[in-house]
Amino acid sequence: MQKDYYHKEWYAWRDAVLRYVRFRPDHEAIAKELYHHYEDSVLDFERIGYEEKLARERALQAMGDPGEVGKGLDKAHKPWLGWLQKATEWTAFALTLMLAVTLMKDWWLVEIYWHMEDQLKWQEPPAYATKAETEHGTIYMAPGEPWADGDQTYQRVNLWLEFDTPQATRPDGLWQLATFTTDRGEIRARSRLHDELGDWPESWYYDHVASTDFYALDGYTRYQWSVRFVTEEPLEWVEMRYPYYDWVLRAEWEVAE
Amino acid sequence: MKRKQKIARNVMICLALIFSIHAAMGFPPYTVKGMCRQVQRDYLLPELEPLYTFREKHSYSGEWLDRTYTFIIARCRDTYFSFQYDRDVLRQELMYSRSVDVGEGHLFMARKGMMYLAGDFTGIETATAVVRATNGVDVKDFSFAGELLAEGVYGFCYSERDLVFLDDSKRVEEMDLGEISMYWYRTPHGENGYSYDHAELPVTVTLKDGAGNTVQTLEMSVGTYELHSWY
Repeated sequence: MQKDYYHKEWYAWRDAVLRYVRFRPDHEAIAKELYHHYEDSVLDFERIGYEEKLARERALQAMGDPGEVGKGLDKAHKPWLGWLQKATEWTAFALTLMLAVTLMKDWWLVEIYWHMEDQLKWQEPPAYATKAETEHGTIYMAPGEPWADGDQTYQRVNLWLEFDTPQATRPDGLWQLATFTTDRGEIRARSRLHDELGDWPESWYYDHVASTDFYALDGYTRYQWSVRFVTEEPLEWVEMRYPYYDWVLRAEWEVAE
Repeated sequence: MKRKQKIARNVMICLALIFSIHAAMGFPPYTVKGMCRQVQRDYLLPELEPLYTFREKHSYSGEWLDRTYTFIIARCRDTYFSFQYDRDVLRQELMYSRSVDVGEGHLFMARKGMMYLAGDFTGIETATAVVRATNGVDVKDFSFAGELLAEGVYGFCYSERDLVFLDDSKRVEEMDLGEISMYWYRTPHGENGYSYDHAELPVTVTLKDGAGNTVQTLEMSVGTYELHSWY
């Protein structure tokens, strides 16, 4: 069969056809398809009693004029459409590589997993939480359980922030603008102290200072974290205000008589 | 599958991959408007209007391609923000190493040889800034005439050179503000090593109208780290 494939006449006819097809990357596939047609035709002629040589001559004649066949095939294999397909294949390949590099770079794959996990771990704020609307989502605040350690009282205010669309970065800027007021006056969050003093104060665990804990949950649209207040006397209430909005979020604790 | 169907399938795959890359990168913004929108959300701001944008390319040794820094000054009502985005091929993010500066009423900050003053300058024709530096013994005042870079933003150029290295052989009288912010604010360690100290230098900005009358005098400050920042 290999010998037949390279049969001179067939070879010349096939090349004559392919000269009309401008999209070269398809030449191999077209040649194979034409060859199968040709071979089927040869077998048909042999089945009705033709000898192989004659069957091949008749089959080649039956294949038609190479010019006509070539023009028809060129019409079916439009170069711009062929190149467009190639371009989309190469683009998909390049993008797959880019995605692989992106996911491996800077542990982003791990980060995506953490964000997804935190997103799903979200716990609804309690019914007694105060709630406020911002331009980008809803913020809730509720008092946490206080505890004492030696002379110090620790009180947490829990905050929930739910964005209306996925957020690419953590809303860290919140701490630069939020102000907290307590029944003992206005206090400053740790990040504000950092800005004002230019460096971390040696100890920010002194009376009447709040510090933001690490984000407990850091999802794509849902964030949960706490602000910790370290005081010598328990606080009765804490209020959070934010520029540009009129709302006040409030957390209250019951004070033992 | 016909060729047109294959193309359609490939295009869909490409779109899905583009979305996946964008998601993997954390949905980074590529336009100034988009960058402002991200900061707006970070800070829960009702709006953020860009006033001034400055783009530059920076090449690091060991990196094949340049990085593009986009520095933006924007306004939300009477609060001004400055921030910078860092972009390379597979990354576009807010530079946290250069913190977002926030100023109520006015914002004064420095970046790579230029000090910026943002605010409402209606009726103002000229702005002059005087920065005072001291090493505890000597005092040096640097005076700069402001150039209106955009509506609401004045620029004060204080250094034309790369501030990464300090030429110790230079005389103090010849040093510009960027060099002084390194030379006078550093602590020696060992024989040739130094650590640079942070200090806030007082700045007095005088705003004058067209007739030359002083309309407003602002008492601001600028950090030494910002003054010798190279990004």
